[in-house]
Amino acid sequence: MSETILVVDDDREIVGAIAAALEKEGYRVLRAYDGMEALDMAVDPELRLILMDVMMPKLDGLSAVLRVRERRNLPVIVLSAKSEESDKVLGLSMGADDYVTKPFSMQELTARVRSQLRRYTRLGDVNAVPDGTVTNGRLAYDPANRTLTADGEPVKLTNIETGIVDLLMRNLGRVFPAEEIYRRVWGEEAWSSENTVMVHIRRIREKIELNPREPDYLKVVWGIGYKMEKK
Amino acid sequence: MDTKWKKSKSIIGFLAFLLGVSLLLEGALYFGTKLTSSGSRRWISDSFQDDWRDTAEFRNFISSRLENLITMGAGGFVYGYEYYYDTGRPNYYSINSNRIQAMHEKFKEDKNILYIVEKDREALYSNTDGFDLAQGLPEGYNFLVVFDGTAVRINKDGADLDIYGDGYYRFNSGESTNQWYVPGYKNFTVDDAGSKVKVLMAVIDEPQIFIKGNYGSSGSDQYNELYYLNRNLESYRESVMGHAVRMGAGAGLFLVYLLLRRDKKRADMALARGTGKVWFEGKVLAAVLLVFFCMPRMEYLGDVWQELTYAYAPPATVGTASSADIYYGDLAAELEQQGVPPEEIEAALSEYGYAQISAVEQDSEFNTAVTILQENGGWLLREYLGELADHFLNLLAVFWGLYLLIFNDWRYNRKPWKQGVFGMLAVHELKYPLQKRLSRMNGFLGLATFLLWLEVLFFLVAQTVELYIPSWAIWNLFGLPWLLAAAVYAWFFWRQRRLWTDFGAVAGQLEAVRAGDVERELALREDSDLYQMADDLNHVQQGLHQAVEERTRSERMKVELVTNVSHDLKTPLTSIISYTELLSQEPLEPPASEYVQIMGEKAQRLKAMVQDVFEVSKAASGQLPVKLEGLDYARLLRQTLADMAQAIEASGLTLRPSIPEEEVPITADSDRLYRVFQNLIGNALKYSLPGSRVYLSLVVEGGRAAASVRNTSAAELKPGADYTARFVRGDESRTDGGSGLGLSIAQSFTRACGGELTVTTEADLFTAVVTFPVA
Repeated sequence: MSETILVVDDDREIVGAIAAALEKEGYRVLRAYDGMEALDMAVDPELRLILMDVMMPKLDGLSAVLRVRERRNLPVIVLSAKSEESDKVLGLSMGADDYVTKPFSMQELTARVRSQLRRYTRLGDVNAVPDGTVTNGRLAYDPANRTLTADGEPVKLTNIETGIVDLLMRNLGRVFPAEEIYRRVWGEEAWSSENTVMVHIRRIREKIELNPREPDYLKVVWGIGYKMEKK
Repeated sequence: MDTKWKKSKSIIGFLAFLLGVSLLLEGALYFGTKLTSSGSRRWISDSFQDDWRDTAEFRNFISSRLENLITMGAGGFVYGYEYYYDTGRPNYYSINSNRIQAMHEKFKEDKNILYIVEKDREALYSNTDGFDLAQGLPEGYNFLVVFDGTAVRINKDGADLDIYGDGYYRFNSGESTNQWYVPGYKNFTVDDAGSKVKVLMAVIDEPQIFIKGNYGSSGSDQYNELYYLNRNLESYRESVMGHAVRMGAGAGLFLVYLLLRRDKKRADMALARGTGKVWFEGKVLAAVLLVFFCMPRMEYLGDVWQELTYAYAPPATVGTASSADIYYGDLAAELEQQGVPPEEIEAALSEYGYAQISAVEQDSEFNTAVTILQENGGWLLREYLGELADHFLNLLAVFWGLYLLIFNDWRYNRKPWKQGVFGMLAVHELKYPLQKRLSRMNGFLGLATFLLWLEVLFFLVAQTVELYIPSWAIWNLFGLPWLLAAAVYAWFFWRQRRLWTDFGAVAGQLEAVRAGDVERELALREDSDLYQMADDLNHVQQGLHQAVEERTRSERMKVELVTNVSHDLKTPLTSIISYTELLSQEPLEPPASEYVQIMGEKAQRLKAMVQDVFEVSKAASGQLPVKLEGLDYARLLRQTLADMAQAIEASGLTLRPSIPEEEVPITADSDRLYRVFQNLIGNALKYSLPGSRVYLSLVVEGGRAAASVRNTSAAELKPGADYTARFVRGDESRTDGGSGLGLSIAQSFTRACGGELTVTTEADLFTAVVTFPVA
C-alpha cells in the first residue's frame, strides 16, 4: 500500500510528525504549508487523500477543500484546534469527510486515514453492497449471514456481540435502554443489566470504532440508553 | 432690508387682521340686528326707494294726515300736538273746536302739504292762500290727494294711483304694507259726518323747512314732519351704505391678512412672548375686569326681563297688589274653612301671606324663564345684539383684550399658568426634600379642613345666638373661605393623583430594571414630586447599564482570550503528543523508554487540562450551549457507573451505589450531566482514602431528585474551602491527578442544565450533591 497522501498544516513540526507516522505505515506523503501550496500539490494524479488544517495563512483549509473538490473527488480529513460542535458541523458541511480535533493521537489519525482510503479506493462505490445489507457509514451489516464489516473488512464478533449489533444495526438511530437490549439479546428478564450490557458495548466499540474512547457509531445516550448513530 | 421688510409685513398683516376683523364684526352685528327685525327691514327697503313718495313711511304719514283733516272737517275729536299750544288757559282744550283750530294753526304753517277742507261745499280750513287745488297744482307740487266724502283719489305726477286694489283693506304686520289706510274700501267706509267732508291735499316734491315765528305766543315753531321724514330716510340709507362699505373694507383687509397670515403669526408670537412674561393671575384678572367693565351692560335688559317675568308669571304671583289680594283671599278662605277665628286669620295673613306669595313666585321662576325664553328668545337676543352694536367700541375693547390676554397667550405660550404665583409656589415647593413636600401637602389639606370646620362652627354659633351678619359680609365670611378650601382640596387631589401616577411609573421602572431592562430611561415632568427620585433611578440604571455592558464585554474578551489561548496551546501540544507517540514506537533503551512514557502521560494530562480550562471558562461566561431533554436520572447514574466500572475496579475502592429501580425523570443535557458525574466519581476515586468506600445515592424527596457522592478524603480537608472554585484542590501538595477544575466544571454544567451542585465537608467526609427538580 503506497497511496499518496497530502498533509497540509502551517505548523511544520505537525506536518513532520504526521508524515513520519504515515510513512511508517507505508504511505507516500506530500507536504504543504498553506492553502495555496496545497492547491498546487493537489494536481498530483497519484494523490488519494488530503489531511488539511483549517487555520492557515494565504488560503484557509476549508476554502482549499472547496476548491480541490471542484476538480477532484478526494477524501479529505480536516484537522483543527477548534473543537466546538459548530466548527465540526461547518467543516463537514464544507466537504470534509472526517474531522479530527487537535491535539489528536497518531494512532487514531492513522486509523481514520486507513478507513477513508479503504472506503474510497477499495470499496469504490459505497452503495454497491448486496441487497438486504444495512450500510451505515464505515459499517455494513448483513442480517442474513449475521456478519459485520468495517471499511469492508470483516469484524470478528462473539454471539452476544453479534446479537447486540444485529439489534442496533436493524434499528439505526433508535435508543435502547440496557434492560431492553438484555431482554432481547440474552432472552431473559434484566437484572442489574447496565454493567453487563456496558461491558459488551465497550468490546464492540474496540472492534469497530477508530477511537473507542470517543465513539462515532456505538453511542451512549446518558440517562436513556444506547444507540447506533445513523451516518 | 430683508428683515425690515419681514417686520413691516408682519405688522401690516397684524393691523389688517385687527382692522378687518373689527370692521367685519361691526358689520355683522349691524346687519345682524337690522336684518332680523321686520321693522328695520322695512326701513331699509324704504330708504332705498327711488321716490320717497313710494315709501311705506310716506304712505303712513299721508294716510294719518288725511285722517286728521277729515276728522277736523267732520268736527270729530282730534289727538296729538296739543302741548305745543299750551296757552295757560286750563279749559281751552276741553272744547273740541278749539283743539281743531289749534291743529289747523299748526298744520297750516307747514307748506309741504297744502290742503283744503270743505264741509257741505263750504271751505272750513285751508292753507293754500286762496289757491284752488281742484283746478290744478301749484309749481313744485305733483302729488294730489282728494277725499270726496266716500273714497280717496290720489294723483301722482299726473297719473292716478290704484289705491284700493281688490277693494278690501287687510291687516299686514310685515314690511309689505303697501295699502293706504284711507276710507273707501268695501270694509272701510265713512260715517254721515265724514261723508259731508271733502278734503284736497297737495304734497310737495322736495320737502323744505317752513318756520313760523309765533313770537306772540311761544316763539318760533316748525312742524316740517315730511321734511324730516325724507331726511331720515336719506340718512338711514347713508348709514346702511356706510356700514356696507365698512364691512367691504373689512373683508378686503381680512383678505390681506389671509395673504400675510404667516407674517401675522410672527406678530402674534411676538405678542405672546410679551404677554408670556406677565403673571398669569394678572392676565386673568385683567380679562375679568375688562369683561366686567367694558362689556355693554344688560341693565336695560334686566328691566325688560323683570317686565316679562311679571307678564308671564302665573296669575296668583303677579307682583301687583290686586293679584296678591286674590291670593290673600284664597288663603283666608282656606283658613276660614278650617275654622280659624277671623282675627287670627287676619294676623296670620299679615305675617305669612306675602311670604307665601314670594315662595310661589320662586317656585315658578324657572318655568317662567323657560317660557319667556321660548317665546321671546329671538327678540331678547336681538335686543342684546343691538345693545352691543350701540356700544361697539366697548365690544371691540373686550374682544381684542381677550384675544391678546387669553386666546393668543394660550395659543403660543405653553402652560401659561406656570408664569405666576402658581409657578412660583411650585418652584418654591421643589426646594424642599420629598418627604417634607408631601407632609406640607398634607398640612395644607389639614388647614383647609380646619378652616371648613371653623366655618361650620361659626355658622352654628351665628345661628344659635342669632348673630346679625350683614349681607355683604356673608360672601366674605362664608363664600370666600369655602372657595379657598375647595381650591386647596382640588389642588391636593390633583397633585396626589399625579403623585400616584408617578409612583406607578417609578415602580414600573424598578420592575423593568429588575427584569433586566437597563436601557429605557424614566422621563417624568420636571415639576413632578418624584422627579429627583426618577433622576436618581436613571443614574443608577445608567451605572448598571454600563456595568453590565462592561461585564459582557470583558466576559466576551475572556472567552475569546481563552479560545485563542487554548487554540495556541493545542497546536504545540499536537506536536508534543505526536512526537512522543512516534518516539515511543522507536526501540529505546530502558531509562529512555520510561521517560517517553512519562512524557506521553503528562502530555495527555495537559491536553485534558486545556480542554477543561476552555470549557470551564465558556461555562462561567454563560456561553455553554445546552441541549435540554427529558431523561431518567437513575439510569444516567447506572450508565455512568457501568462506563466507569473499569476505573472503579482499578482504584481498589468499593463503590456502594443506592439508586432506585424506578424512573426518576428530570430535564437536563445528558452529555453535560454525564460529565458532571464522571468528574465527581473520578474525583472520589482519585482522592479517597485507599481501601475506603465511596457512596453514590439518589434520593427523590419533595419533588427534587438529589444524587450525592460521598467519600472519605485521603488528605485532610480544609474546613470552609470552596471546592467548586477554579483551581482549588483538596491537597495542594499533590501534583498528579486533576487540573483543579473538575468540580468547577461540574458546578458550571449542573447550573447550565438547571440543577444545583452543593459541596459540603465534614471532617474528612466529602459530599457532593447534585439536585434537579423532578420533571
